[in-house]
Amino acid sequence: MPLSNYAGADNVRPAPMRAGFVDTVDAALDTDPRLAVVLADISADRFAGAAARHPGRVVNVGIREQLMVSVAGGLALTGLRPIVHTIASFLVERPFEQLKLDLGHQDTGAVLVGVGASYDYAGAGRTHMAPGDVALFDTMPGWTVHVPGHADEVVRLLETSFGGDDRVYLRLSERATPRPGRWAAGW
Amino acid sequence: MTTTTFSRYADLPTLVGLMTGDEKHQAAAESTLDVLWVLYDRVLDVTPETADAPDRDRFLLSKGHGPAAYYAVLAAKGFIDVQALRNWGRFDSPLGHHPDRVLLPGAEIGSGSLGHGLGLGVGTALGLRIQGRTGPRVVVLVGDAELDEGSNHEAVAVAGRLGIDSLTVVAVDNGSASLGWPGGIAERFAREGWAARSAAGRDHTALYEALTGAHPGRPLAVIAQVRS
Repeated sequence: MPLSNYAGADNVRPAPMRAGFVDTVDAALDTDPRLAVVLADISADRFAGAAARHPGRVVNVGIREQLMVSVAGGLALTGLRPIVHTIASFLVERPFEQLKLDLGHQDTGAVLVGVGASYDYAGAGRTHMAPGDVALFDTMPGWTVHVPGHADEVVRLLETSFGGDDRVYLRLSERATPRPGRWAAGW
Repeated sequence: MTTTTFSRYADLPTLVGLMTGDEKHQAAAESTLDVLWVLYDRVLDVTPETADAPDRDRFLLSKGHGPAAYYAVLAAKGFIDVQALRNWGRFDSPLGHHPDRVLLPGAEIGSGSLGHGLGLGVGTALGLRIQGRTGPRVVVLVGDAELDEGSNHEAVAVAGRLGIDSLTVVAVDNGSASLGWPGGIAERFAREGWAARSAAGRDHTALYEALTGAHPGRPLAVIAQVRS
């Protein structure tokens, strides 16, 4: 797909990664019946259109991050490809045992998409900082971690993640490079 | 081939005894034994032959502690080899002190840490619903003390609000929650929109009726009362 979708009109201020994520998933729901989105209120407004077009496939559990991850594990047990999304601290740290057990120990997979990596939301205080997310994933087997630098990279990483059954974390940031970088696999 | 030996309810104490070495007393103490038997013998539409079928009923043992009764029932129903029971808990045995779905035929989840099965059950039921599979039931067994874990209450609320009527919780209540549940467990589920029923946890007919009675538009909670 073209690389310029989220480069911004003047290529100076890139469009946010989260917009690339939402647009990509929104479109993919129309063509890939395995995909389902699990939310805990964050970004739920951005998925309202997709939820209306695909009843049941965008599950917003409210402010319940443990259940968000457990539901993803259950969806995967039935063969679906769950996409799980909220702010990084509430995606990784609060429901950490659910990541470990309801995905890892069940040997199921999901695509986790966090926003607000590291100190993006420094003004919000310690509660919304997540500098330890990658280190936490490194304690668990079978995860692939992607740290995109630009919204176009988010699009490509997502599209290569939809078809699998493995465990993937995309670490989205509010900051971005002016242009997408070279394609590189995660680790 | 499914063996016809050790396939009856009356054989369960012997099967438990292969694991515990104490045929009579330990088997009788298994609070989940009768619930598990009624589920696998009369309620769940799943067999060793359909253990991977997309439209099978799912049973999720959330309370993974003390799985001897579960293993005994799975052996009686032919999911696992009776002889495997003798080596449970040993190195290289697929039968651990907590069940592991990756190792154990017929086990839908791996459990042990409390408070995970109900959320997984909600997700499983939603996944089946998304795929238009309206037939299968998803049954989750929890203990009354397990309900202390807050993760359960996230799942109870959402299952009720979304009206997931394919989901059933069997809460085996032997009064083991340290701080208790004043007013009983059933009313917690009922408040969140579930159909909630209590049944004597050793009474096969009562359990069967509670588990199979209609509950349109609502998830079902069956509180199986067992003396501790």
